[in-house]
Amino acid sequence: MHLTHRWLIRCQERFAQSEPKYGYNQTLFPIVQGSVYTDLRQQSAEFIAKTDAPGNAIGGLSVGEPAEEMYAMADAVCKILPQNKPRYLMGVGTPINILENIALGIDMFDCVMPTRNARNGMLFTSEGTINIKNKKWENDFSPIDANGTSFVDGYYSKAYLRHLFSANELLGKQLATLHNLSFYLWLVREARKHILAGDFVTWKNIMVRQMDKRL
Amino acid sequence: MNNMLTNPSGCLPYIWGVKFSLEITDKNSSARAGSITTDHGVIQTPIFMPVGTAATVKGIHQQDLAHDVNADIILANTYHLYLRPSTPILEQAGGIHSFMHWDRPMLTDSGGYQVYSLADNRKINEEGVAFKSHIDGSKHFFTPESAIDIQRMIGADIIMAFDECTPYPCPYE
Repeated sequence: MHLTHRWLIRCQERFAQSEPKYGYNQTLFPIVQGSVYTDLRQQSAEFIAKTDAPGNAIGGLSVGEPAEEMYAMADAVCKILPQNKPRYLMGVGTPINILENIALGIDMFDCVMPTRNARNGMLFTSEGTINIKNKKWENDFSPIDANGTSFVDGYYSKAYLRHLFSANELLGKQLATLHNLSFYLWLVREARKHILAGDFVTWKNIMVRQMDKRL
Repeated sequence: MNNMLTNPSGCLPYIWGVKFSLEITDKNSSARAGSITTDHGVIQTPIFMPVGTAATVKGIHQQDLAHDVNADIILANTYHLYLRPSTPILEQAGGIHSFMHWDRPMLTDSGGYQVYSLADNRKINEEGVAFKSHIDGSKHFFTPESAIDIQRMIGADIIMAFDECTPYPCPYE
């Protein structure tokens, strides 16, 4: 963690002394570290907050620790990072992890889960997860996701998508990826709507229960 | 696109890369809605960034990413792009947006996490990290300075500091 801080100073100096190359601006975000130790996370967040960067990231989570520890660290760090700068939680996570961390004050997420899991036939939906390779979908001609926002969701059936996976066709992975990414983007946009409408927590609690199911 | 070098305020350039405006904080939680303005467009938050490790979100093309998924911003990995196609190629292409034909915002991580999770024979010292490529075993050395230089050449809107990523479980020291 102290090494990360010393490296940050070197990064910020190099950044300030160099220029973007292609005619548009770039911004450097520092990263809070400190594993799952609240006191180290707090020290790191205080150090990072003092650098007054235009945005701040939290790294070193979603590396196998229990979700409760991840939430505890995100909570401790968000209480210290400046309110008026975006907060990016790196490498997180499941749809449930994302909603719980939004509730703690995180603004930005990235994760390979929607794309990687799609390629393995796992679909995330607002009503739970689907393993499309399961035999139960063999003759289910209903849409991939009746509530989904992607073009593919209403256009192709579960039975067809299951067939593509069974036959190891490239299109299967592509359709599943489009579905999962569209779902993740829908989820964060819906979260935003409910934050603006003032009923985020009620909505989040319903969604967390629903998305925890296996269909 | 405004050129930061001509901005009249005299502030340090990096202040001007993105602007965050916080619209509302939830009364019953710490959830926030806001927007991040970059030279490639506005990102409404909270936001999820699809991962485009090697300048591609695996399996789908940029038109679908923009118009079906409707991603506001995507991420790419410095470690992968530095090794392949390599930074000089990205520089010749005029940066990553131009290379992959993605005109919305992008973010690159610094390579710290991938050096830790993918590369072989990783050796850390105060100066930086020596590692072997997971592709061809070639030897490389990343420093905080080189991580910034490489990310300048890749050309994402938001770039990340070079950090030491810790495993889990990780001893306190």
